[in-house]
Amino acid sequence: MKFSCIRSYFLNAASSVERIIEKNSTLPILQNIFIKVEKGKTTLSTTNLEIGIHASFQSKADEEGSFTVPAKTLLNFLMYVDTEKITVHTKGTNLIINAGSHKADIKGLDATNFPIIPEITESFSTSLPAEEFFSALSSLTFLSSMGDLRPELAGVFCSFEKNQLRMAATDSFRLGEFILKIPTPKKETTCIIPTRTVNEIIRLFTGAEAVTLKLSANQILIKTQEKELISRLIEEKYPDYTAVIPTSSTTRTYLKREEFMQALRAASVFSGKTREVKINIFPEEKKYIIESRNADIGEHKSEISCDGNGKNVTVSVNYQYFLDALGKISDEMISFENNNETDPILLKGLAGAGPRYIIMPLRSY
Amino acid sequence: MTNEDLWQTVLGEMELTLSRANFVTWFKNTSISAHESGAVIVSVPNGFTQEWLENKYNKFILKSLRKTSPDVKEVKYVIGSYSPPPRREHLDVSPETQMDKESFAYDDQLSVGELEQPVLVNKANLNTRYTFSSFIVGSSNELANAASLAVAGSPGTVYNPLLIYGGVGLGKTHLMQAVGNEILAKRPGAQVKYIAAERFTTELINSLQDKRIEEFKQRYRACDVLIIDDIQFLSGKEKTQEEFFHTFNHLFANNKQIILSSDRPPKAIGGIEERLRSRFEGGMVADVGIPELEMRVAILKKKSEERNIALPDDVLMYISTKIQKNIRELEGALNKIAAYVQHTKTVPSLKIAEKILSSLINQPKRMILVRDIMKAVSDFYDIGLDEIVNQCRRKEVVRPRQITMYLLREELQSSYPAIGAKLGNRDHTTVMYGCEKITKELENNLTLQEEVRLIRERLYANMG
Repeated sequence: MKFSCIRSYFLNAASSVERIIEKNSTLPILQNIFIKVEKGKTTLSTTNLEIGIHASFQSKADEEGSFTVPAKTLLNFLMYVDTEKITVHTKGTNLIINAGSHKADIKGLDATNFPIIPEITESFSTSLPAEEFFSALSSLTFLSSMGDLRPELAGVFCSFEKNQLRMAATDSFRLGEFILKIPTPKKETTCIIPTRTVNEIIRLFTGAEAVTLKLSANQILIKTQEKELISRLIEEKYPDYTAVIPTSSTTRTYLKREEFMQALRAASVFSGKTREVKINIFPEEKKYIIESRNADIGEHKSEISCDGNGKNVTVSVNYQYFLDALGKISDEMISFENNNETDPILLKGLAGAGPRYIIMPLRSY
Repeated sequence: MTNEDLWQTVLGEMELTLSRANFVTWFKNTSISAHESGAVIVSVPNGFTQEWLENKYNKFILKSLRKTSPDVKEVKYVIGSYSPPPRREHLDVSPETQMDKESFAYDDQLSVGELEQPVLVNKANLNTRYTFSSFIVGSSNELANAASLAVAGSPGTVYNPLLIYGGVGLGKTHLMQAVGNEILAKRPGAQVKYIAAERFTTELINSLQDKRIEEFKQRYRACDVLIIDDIQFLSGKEKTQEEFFHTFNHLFANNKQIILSSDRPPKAIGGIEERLRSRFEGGMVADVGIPELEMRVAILKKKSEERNIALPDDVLMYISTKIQKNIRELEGALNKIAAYVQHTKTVPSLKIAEKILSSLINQPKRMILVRDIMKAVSDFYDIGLDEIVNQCRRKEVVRPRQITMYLLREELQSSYPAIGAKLGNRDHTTVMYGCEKITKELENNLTLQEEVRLIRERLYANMG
């Protein structure tokens, strides 16, 4: 195997694939980057046996072939080299990199022992507007867990429907939904993308213009021209979450997002470990009174203005849930809808194009 | 030879030829899910394993299969549903995680909850899904059902308190809530209150902290029907028991209905005051057992109807035969099938159902570890893990420690010195004494028998 290329291309590809590597994996070869040289391009691959990533870049192939080297060593070396053009070739069990005045000789492992990253037997394929897709994912993924307690909730649910992609995530105390307009897919289908995969997708593809998404019964593939990510899917049934989204509300208020967050942050200081903050809503008087108290610390009260209508209502909430959600809404004004102290609260940007969140209040007796 | 044995022989051979790392990586969570007319289907956890076994080890696997089962002609690798191993809790719970847990418990009741169906929780904190009409009655729960119906008919007079006990996922909560819902349906103004014992404790602590204990007392004494779930969690919590005792007496004296549930008979709940235990036993004690096959089929039918999926009888039969001990597991299997229906929009045949459920049903058995046993015992008796290991000689600790010794010996066949070493470097004679003591006592101490049975049940319930 022998090729020459531009250093920054090589480095970019290596750092794209490096992050999923698990430091304590049982199989030493999983710490390695798989390098494959074909006509005119070099592809780097890594896997943690749940996710696999390929990243390719243009290069001049002098001799086709493949090899693997420890990711960390390769990446660290490439970061400190400053020449533009480098040449790479294998010699016995080593990979030799010539980069201007630097020469590295990295001990590697035979490529035949590198796991095969499964190909996807496609049953569904669509292309997506990348920027919107990723911002939707990042407004939801914090809600899904890594845990195994309820495997079906450990990911972001995607439902490809007529004219739209409906996405949701929940930790069962709160729920987020994002509806993205897309061209109607050839086939309607659903999947649950594991949390870790979602986070990798966001990291790897942010900045891309359009991505292709392919699904089979148990795998997902996301790709652009240069990069590809393959992962398992969660094969469980996602709960019919739409049932918990309130369809009507007796109190609707609108308030400044930043002001609301500030008041909640101040209240958080006094709320102790239950994170309980009381929100008293007075639509007629156009105000919110936010309070918190803790027997050991003291109490706090703040007033902010609002707009809207409906009856007065008081809810106890976990302030963290609110701050998390408000942080993901980009509108300046938000809308807060609820019925009484026990029903779920609907929170969204006033313009309504972004995510919406359903949050269960704390029950106060 | 069963599929399991057959795969074990293959694993045994592969283990010898491969490095430990390779073996663990590629054969973890694999099993034979079917073996028919020369074709063996191996269920694997993911696409990576599938590719690797197919491309790299197929020859060895085939050869090794043929040694014990010469009829095998081909091997196929199918991705079974991925089921991550149950998360292991670490022995040393750091203060942070403990705090997290507490706050988690605090809003547990407030959760969006079972997102499956619209959660209609009424004022009494009852899930309106749980009614008598949706409860399936069989010989395993006839008594509990009849008693509950009687209580719903005339609360506070027939059986007071009513205590229902039985293993996890057998319908205790359903029955209790059905009584509450029924009473509410007849008398909408009735003060019915359902609460999990754990939540009751948290509330009590909160109101003590905020100096609102009077409010707390009033709230519970105003009930017409008080339903408390999982009262075994009260064990060891003295202040809560005391408060509960007074509430109990107050309600009882005023002919208010009390309904309780527990995962074991009242006699076997450790760390409960005698005066409270005798009150639990004062009314009606009914158990729910493991449902028989016909009942499991009926339950499954009902649940699939609720979900609007029509499954062929042989599929229902298959699931009910394979999953026997827990209704929640039945529901889990049904969920997997429902996911398939949702994804493909077709109804699965028996063959496909077998495949879908292969990972659930042929789940490779995880080894029980020393730590699992210690944790199960310490959880059960509500004492710290460190107390089992340290030198403390309090009676409440010595006994669980001896039970731990006994279980380590029985379940893991550990040697006496090894057990001693694990339990705080005790002498092997101490361990021998402990094991013998428990063995002897088990012969005629019913409470102990029940306790050991329950610990075992929990130990294996988590193993899948």
